[in-house]
Amino acid sequence: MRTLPKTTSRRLSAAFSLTEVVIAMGVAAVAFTSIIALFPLGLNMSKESYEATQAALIAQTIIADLSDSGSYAKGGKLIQIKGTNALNSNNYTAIPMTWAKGATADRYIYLAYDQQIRTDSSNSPIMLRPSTNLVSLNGPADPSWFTKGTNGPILLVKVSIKHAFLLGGPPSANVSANPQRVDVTVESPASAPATNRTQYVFTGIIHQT
Amino acid sequence: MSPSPQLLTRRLIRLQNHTHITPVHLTPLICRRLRAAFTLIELMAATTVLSVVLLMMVGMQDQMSKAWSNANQRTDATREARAACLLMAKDLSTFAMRGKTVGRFSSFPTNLTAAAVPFYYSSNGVNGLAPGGATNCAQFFGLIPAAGKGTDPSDIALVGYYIASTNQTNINGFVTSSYNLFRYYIPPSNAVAGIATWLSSSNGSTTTLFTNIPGNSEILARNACNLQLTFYSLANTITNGLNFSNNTSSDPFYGGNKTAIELSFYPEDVAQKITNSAWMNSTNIRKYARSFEFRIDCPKN
Repeated sequence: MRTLPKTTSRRLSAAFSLTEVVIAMGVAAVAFTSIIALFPLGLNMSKESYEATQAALIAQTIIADLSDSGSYAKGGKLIQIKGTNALNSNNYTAIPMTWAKGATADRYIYLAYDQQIRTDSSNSPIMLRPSTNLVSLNGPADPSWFTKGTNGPILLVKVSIKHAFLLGGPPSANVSANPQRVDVTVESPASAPATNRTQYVFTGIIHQT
Repeated sequence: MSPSPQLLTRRLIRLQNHTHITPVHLTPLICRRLRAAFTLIELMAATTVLSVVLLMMVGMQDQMSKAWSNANQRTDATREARAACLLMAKDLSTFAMRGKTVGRFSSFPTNLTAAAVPFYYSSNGVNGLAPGGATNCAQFFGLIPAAGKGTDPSDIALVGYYIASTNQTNINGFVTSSYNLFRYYIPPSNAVAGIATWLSSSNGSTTTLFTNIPGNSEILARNACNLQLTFYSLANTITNGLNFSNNTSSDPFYGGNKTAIELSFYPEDVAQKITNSAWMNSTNIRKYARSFEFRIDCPKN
């Protein structure tokens, strides 16, 4: 039997080779991946907008709590640190506004905000409220759940109250640092470690009384 | 002269029927022409595969478009909520409210008829000042300081916030209604005469101070479904009592002068599906709305 000419043989057995198929599938996969990648992009845009707004409102609320002159009579400024009910006084704690003799440390408050069904509103909407279990009033070392991140909460908040205007150095006697500087740092996502989180930083000035 | 198609076909049939005849009997040209075509089966299979791929692509495009649209609508709702919160924080932090020991009446008012200064507050909108006001949503109206313009010495403006329904005609001619957050505002130049009249009244009972509310209001944020205000009192328990008294007794824990504002908004796609009767439904608010709250300090002095 005579052999077929080379050209004729290739034509008769014309088909895609494995390499061609793999390349084609690779191109298709890249295209599909690019399209699918657009889904979370749109969702992220909405999520970031929501979190930025909530961060601003949380900072506004904390600075308002720390500014409230009415609560100072209770031994410090009252801020909500936990709970679904903002009308329950047990969910508040007093942050002292005075500084001991020789004190140099700033005051720190660590909070975690998660979505909770409010129990203090007639419409009971879902709001971001301070988580009951993740609260720390110690600093300056961050608690481990703040450093490493934690599952559950949406936002983590660090509040630092500073001797901003004690220009002469640490007080030599028990004095009131008045006014004081408040930095509120809201971080997201809560599940990520601190180095990988987006930070929204807000600053305010409060009076002691 | 090249062979006719009929001849080629006959040659091919002969080739297929006599396997001992190898394709070498055909010239390369004939062989290429015999193979250079898709069969009907191949075409149908390719078309089917293409249809499936196209359907998938169209489906993905549709889903992607919806996701983008929804994300945009949620971003819009958030942006409007943020703008509303900023303006409300500014207005409410300077609202004129007076305590019961300061005003001309012994009990602290929630409405104009017994107010020490013109102030109206309804926690649930029942019989509210604003016509068409949403049920279970707060309304409040009062005075804020505002700089007069030019030679106008007035420095007090009237302002109010409420949620009310609005009818809109869409591009298809259908009338749809939705609830929106409104801001009522009368600038100092127009407010001073009404305030003077109100103050000159012996009991402040006139309700004509906050006049023509729809005409003097603008939409601050669309698709609002929840507005609540809580006035923290200086007392041993936190109450929504507008109690700005000078009570300094040794209450066990809480005291303060703060106002809390709570707002919820539906994204546009959700708002178009929810009927007016279900608009204020708590389940819907929890399920679909984006809610925001914040507190502001209201200095006593």
